[in-house]
Amino acid sequence: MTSLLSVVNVSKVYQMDGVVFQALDSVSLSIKKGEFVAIMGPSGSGKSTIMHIIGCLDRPTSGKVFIEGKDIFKADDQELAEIRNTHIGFVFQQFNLLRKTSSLSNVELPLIYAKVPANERHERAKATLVEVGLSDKMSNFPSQLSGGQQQRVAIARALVTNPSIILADEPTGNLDSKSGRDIMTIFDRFHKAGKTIILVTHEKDIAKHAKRIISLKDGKII
Amino acid sequence: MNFTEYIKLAINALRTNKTRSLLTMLGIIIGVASVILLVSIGTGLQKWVTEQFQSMGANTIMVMAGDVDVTQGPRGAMMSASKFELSDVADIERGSDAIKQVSPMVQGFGSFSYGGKTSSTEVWGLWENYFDIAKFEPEYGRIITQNDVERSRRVIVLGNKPSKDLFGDGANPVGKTLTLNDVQFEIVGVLKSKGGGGAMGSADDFTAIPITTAMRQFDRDRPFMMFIEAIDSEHVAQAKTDAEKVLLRRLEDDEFTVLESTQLLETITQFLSVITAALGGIAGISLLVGGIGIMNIMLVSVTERTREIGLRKAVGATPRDIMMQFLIESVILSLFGGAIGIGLGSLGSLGINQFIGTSVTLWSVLLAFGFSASIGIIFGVTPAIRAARLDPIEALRYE
Repeated sequence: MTSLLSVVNVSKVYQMDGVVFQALDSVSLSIKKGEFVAIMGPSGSGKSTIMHIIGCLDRPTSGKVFIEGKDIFKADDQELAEIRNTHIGFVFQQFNLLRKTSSLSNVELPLIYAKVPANERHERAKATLVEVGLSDKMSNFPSQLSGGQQQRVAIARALVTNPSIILADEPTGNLDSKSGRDIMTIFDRFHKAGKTIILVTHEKDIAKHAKRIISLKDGKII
Repeated sequence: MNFTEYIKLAINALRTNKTRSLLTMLGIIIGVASVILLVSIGTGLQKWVTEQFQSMGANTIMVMAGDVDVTQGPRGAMMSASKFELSDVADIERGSDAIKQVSPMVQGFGSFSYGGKTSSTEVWGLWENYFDIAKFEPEYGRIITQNDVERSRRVIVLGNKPSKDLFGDGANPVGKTLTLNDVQFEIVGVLKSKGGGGAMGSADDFTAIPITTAMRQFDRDRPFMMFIEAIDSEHVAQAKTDAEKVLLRRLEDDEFTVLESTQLLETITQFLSVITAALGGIAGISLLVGGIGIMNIMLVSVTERTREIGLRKAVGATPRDIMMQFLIESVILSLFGGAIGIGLGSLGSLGINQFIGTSVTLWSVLLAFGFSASIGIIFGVTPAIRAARLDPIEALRYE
């Protein structure tokens, strides 16, 4: 089976105030459909950078990234946004929900940009919220939800477009251990259901949930 | 993302910050309202002046005998002997489509006496149509009729001033008989006062008798001058040219002068247009300030919502989506403010209408609306572009 995601010789060099910083140094990796992978490493190891590049939020200095065989960085910003919309589902450490916006509307957001008609949007968002166990919190604002609940809304938002890859960046970093475990249970469940999940974390306990661990140090895979 | 989604999104965003949205709109509201109000006052003044002129005969052209210097006024013609014939009246009337009617006039001077009181003023021998041309209406009784003219009847219509002089304020002298240069005349009417000065000096200080009677009375065989009424104010110039053409067939060009009263009107309306434009311009500056207010708030809003923008980009918003989101927000702010401003301005104009005639013109409404829409776009573009260009990674990290 061909890989869902291939990262080929990707390097990223930042230049800040004349200081050159090599965040990634010829990183290559490949992830198959249905895999649950954790990318680990201390801060400054380049794990955030590789996640941003896989998530099409940042362009590599050199190298290529293929998602479902497509060379994604040939696309312009407009097309890159569409790739993000269809192929990637983000889960952030900070949840990043829109305040003063109901759980349902937050989950609907990616579908608006996918030009899904309003009725279908509601249905799909509702169904996804049910999947993450928030059927009774659909009209609540983020401020009325606990951290764990907010992160579940965020997971529903990542899942609702049925993306190729779910990219989770320290998804438990802002949660107490109980809520963190709940969130990881949800990821486990979706992995079993066949979703491809890439988890970025520096916590070993969290990384254990993944079936494969990729460790980064100083911009290289070790 | 389609257009309705953008609008929904913008309205939602504006509703989340109601107070701020309202305060931002206030700048546009005040700007638009003052444009509408000031322009309506200016236009109202213009209309009023034009109406005043028209009531005194703005469409009227005078044909005087001799070579009259305009700067000396109509009375400069007094010295010249008239070469006009009564037949000129019909010739001029026939000679132009721009002319509604022509009325000849014979002028004399009269001493009046009634019941021991005496007075003196100008006596104008007129056709019945003069009163229509000069917009005179009777306060008491009637004006000169065609019948009076045909029969050379000894009837007299008094101007408001001589009537006051002889009979006192508010008295109705119709039916009484007075003596004019030792001949008895029956008073058949008194004219309504026009106040101020008409084209012939004080409009109220004259008396009118049938032209046929006047020719006999003052021993004249020619009209002293002619009044021409153009069909409307736009045709005055053409009427003047046409009248000159007709008269030149029979007379030398120094034997008559055609004068129009619109030149002064034009000067005044021009002046008022400048004033109106200046007032509108000053109000326009406040609109500009309102626009800058919108830009300011939109910039703040973009900064405040940096994380939201980053998130939207992460879930698939294109740069164009983000730009439209903010642009439409500012356009809605300014259009909504503009609409309220138009309402308030019109209301204010209606209020002022109790004191001075104002009129809200379509062009000022359209201008204000178009202007506020453009302000929304112009001042919304910079913040919107800034939002669209935000780096999603930076934006997501923004605290």
